[in-house]
Amino acid sequence: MLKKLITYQKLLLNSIPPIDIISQTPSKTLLYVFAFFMMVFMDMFIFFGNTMSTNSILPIALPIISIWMINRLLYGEHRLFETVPVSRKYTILNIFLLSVVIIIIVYLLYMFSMTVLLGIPLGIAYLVNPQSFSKSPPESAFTQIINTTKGDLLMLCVLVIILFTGVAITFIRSKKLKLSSFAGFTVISYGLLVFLKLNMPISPSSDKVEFLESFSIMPKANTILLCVSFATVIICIASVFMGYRLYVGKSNASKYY
Amino acid sequence: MTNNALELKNLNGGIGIFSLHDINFSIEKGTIMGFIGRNGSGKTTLIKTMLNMIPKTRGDVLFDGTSMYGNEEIVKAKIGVVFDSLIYPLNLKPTKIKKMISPFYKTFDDKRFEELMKRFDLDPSKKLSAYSKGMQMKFGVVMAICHNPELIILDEPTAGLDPIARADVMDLFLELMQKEERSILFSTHITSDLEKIADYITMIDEGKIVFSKGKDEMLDMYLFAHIDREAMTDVIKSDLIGIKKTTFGYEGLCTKNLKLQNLLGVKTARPTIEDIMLYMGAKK
Repeated sequence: MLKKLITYQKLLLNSIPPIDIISQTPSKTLLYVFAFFMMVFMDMFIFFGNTMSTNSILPIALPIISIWMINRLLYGEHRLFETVPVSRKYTILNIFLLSVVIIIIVYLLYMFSMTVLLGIPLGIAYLVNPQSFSKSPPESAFTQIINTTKGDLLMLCVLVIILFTGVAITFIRSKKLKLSSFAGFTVISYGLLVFLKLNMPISPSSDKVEFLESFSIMPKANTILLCVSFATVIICIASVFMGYRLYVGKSNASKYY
Repeated sequence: MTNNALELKNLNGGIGIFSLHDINFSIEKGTIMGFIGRNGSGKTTLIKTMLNMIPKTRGDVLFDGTSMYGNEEIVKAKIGVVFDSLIYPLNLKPTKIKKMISPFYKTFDDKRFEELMKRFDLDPSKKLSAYSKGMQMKFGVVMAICHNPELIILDEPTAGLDPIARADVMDLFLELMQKEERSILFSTHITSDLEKIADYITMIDEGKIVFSKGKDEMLDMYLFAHIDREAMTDVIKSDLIGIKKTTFGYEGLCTKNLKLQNLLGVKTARPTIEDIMLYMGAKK
């Protein structure tokens, strides 16, 4: 059972068509560039403070990458995963699982490349001049974790919501409807995050609204977190169900966005 | 128990603006069906619709009496498919692909895989990207038959193969047919391949089935007619299928019962499948 699951995940990963940047049409390239800059702008607007960290950007960037890969998988010219004898239910559950697997892979790749990119220069600098490195950390790591735990949990819920809803939307047959759904979902998501930010208290550490820290010290943080957690569970179940309903009659349009 | 390996009942579907209209035909167990039609006539779309890779809008597809829809796990285990281009990732080696695909088939025969790899001179230690197009196609055939399917669906399997490789693949298909009740749906442009092995021919054009008949019955039904310019009359013109003007007169297909062969200035011959495809395609 587990072996079959792992094999099918490998099969799904290998069914993702290679990225062909050259054959992209100018309109499609423009669409990608526009979407990318909008995402960067909104992330900066919402999460920018004195301590903007990857903890706030990654929960949005990672699911977007994963959804894009799933979209390519589903609308590739040859879908190897559809040739093997498995039920549609099994396929759909595996596609949702794959979206999580992709996030883990991309995150590990990100961590590895960041370690290499930052670790090597810092390591060399330390070897060359050890005195330049302070022996005690500027801030207690323990305090840092306590301060943003609620914020981190919120971002985890945001990641799961974006991922499951986005994957369910990729199953929509009509390209226009799919793009409209993505646009609508993006507007609602960013709108809610902006609304939340506007109601957040100023962080005592920086005298600014720092998304993760400010959320953690919000008086209603626990209530919001509880509601978002419930919503996440419901959205996940609804997304898998909706994805299954859409996939059973999915279109084969091989041109993907 | 049905005697049909595959049965299409009023199948409708499509992709983009192209659509399939009320497709009906069946393949008897133990026979080879040649599937012909010009480029863009709907051959690949129909095959993908049959396999539920393109959604149908109406109708049903029965494999050995079992509907594909809702029974994919059972039905796909009994089918082997070769597409017009390789569907496997080029950056992988054949052995790795076999490891990835074989767990899904209870009847996958590893020995047969090795035998066929040897027979086709395919090096399992090389990546697929290092294979020529012909070798890639042969590998596709190997993967499609290693689980001993009851029905093999071939979408232009000999396209891109040199004559020797083509003959080898065709021999393999004939060999496969020695097992009783194994059936093949063979979509191709190379109609000479069908002359050798097909029992039935189905032609599709603009998403509609033009005919689906026994090969011999069909070849016996029509005649290829050449009519001298002087001998041409309006009556003959109206009787000819897909009439074409040549330097010396006219050419076209006619049914045998018209007895055109008895007329002066009319020469007839037994048509090939290619003639039938050509003139039936030009009919409209």
